[in-house]
Amino acid sequence: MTPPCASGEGDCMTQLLQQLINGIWQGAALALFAMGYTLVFGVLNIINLAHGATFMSGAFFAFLCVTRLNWPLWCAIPVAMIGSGLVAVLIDRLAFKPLRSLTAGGLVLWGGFILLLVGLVGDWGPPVKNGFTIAGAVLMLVGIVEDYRTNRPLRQRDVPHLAPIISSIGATFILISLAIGMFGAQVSRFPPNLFPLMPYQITKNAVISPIQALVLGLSLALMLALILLIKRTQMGRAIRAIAWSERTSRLLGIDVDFVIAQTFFISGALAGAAGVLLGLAFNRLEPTMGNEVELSGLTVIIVGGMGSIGGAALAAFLVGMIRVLSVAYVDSSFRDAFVFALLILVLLVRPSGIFGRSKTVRA
Amino acid sequence: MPEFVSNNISTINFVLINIALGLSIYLTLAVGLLSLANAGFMAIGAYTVAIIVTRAHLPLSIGLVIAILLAAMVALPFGMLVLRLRDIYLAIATLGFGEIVRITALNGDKVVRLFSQDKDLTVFSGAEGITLTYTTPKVVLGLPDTTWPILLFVIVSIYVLATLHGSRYGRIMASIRQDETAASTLGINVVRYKLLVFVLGAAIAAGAGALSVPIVRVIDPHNYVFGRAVDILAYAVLGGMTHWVGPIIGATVLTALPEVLRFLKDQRDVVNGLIIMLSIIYLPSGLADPRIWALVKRILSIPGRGRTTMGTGAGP
Repeated sequence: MTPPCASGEGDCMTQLLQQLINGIWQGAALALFAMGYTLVFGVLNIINLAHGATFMSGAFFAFLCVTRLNWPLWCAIPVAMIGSGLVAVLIDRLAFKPLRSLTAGGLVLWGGFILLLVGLVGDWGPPVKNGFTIAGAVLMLVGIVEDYRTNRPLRQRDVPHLAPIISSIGATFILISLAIGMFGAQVSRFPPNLFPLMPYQITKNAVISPIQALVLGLSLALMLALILLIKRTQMGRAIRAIAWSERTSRLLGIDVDFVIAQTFFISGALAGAAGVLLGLAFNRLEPTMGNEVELSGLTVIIVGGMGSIGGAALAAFLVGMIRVLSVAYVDSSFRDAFVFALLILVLLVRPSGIFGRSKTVRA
Repeated sequence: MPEFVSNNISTINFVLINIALGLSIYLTLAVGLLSLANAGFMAIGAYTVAIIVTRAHLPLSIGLVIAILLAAMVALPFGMLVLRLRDIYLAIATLGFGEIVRITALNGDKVVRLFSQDKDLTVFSGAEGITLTYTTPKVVLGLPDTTWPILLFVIVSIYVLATLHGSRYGRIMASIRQDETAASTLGINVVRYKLLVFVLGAAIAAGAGALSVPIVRVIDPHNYVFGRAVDILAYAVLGGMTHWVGPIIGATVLTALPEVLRFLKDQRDVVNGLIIMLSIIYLPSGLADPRIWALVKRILSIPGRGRTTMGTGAGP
């Protein structure tokens, strides 16, 4: 494929505005994804590599609502956000919490999860399959309730720092594989006519389609909501307190486990929103769609400074712009190579991130 | 060939290749580095051999040597750049490396054509990949002649690792894994040993990739994606990261398991992911955990020595 503006210099300049618009709306969706990513890192100091799978789950929740239940889009997006938020909470309970402390409830939850997977994946007749699935789900609920009832762990743990990365990779595999089982490995598409196609003219030769405008508007609104939530509410204060020191927060009477669950819910809901919006904008849903955005997201949170939400938002626009411009002016197949070149460059030159504070060099 | 071997020859081949890959990531994990670049180095090895065999018509053995040297030559400067990063940052940088290798394989032809006069020059063949013609392997001494080189390569790798493990270097590696700062205050040049281990791991991964070429026969970029790096990681995690027996057990179990779980079809990854999660959460030292072996010995009531030969967390 030749770059779209290979024909002459004049074309390139008139296209530039259009490319900048594309970079901005894609950057906005990427920012939603990256802010949740960096939020979890800021609070728990772990990288949740299953964040890309949460993103994918959001897109498919909306797909389910729209195609199987025939819900309108304005209803499907919040439902997808809640669904992917719950997926993120579950990922925390299964993949990260057992690494912090072993609890009886956690063990029951895991037992239920295995039963659920046996039910979902196994090749049995409907009664056995449903039996396993329902028994698993009930057992998982019992485990979660048990966790809230007794907050004394069997054992606090000190695991190697690689453990959360590895266990979240395992969670990614499970989620992607379940999605393949439910929707197939091929590309799924939202039904056409879900959205008006007629683009808005911004200037003489720059347009933005309604769906792209929706992506941009909703992303900016959610970004603002997140920043207000973190800065102004009691919940945000608790989250920031735990990010500062988990031990001190516990002593001050903050329910640390509950606040961590809230953090995961917010992060997952944002990832899910990004999944729905990008899935709609490209009209292309596949179980592995999280992997690509995962790598861009990692670049974003490192360039933005790990744990810095504002930094992640700015860096997302930078990365979105680099991707779009490299597609337009170099070659579409090299866009990720540019992103990774930026990633390695930032890691080597300024590991605290371009927008991060250089007070502590973490890498 | 014995019947069991001839029926399962492809599984045996893949078990051997995956053992070599598991050993390559074990090396970096043994000094506490999480490097996800092994799939990339495997791709370098595989592509080098495929190009040399199909385009230059040279034998596999020459390709193997060139592949290993090339991977080491790439690993050395890349390692110098990134090895000063710690845990997650290193993981991400090496992940980026793997993606760059994949993108290069996918689009390398465009760059090559840009620099040469020939507009139809094909080296990497993009997404289609390089396909080798099929020849029925000759049976030598009860094994196909494609299996022998892999077996020998695995044995040599194990020998090198076992020698390392029992030597002064093995203890140095264990000390770096347990406490880098303490190791460096004892006068150990931490950076040098990390680099040594990284390059050695890259060479083993490239060798495994190179020797896998006659078996997989279609070398395309999809073989070496992120998922591949994760598979390799899973071998070492399941088996255990403190002894070289770990990745051997892990690779054997995880490669043979899908054959057992064939009824799950395309959902086999659920079991893969489950094994990774369960083993890192509830079995953090892996299957080669000395405590498990001590338990097995007690059950079988074999009179064991005071210390097991499996090595403790502190090394032998």
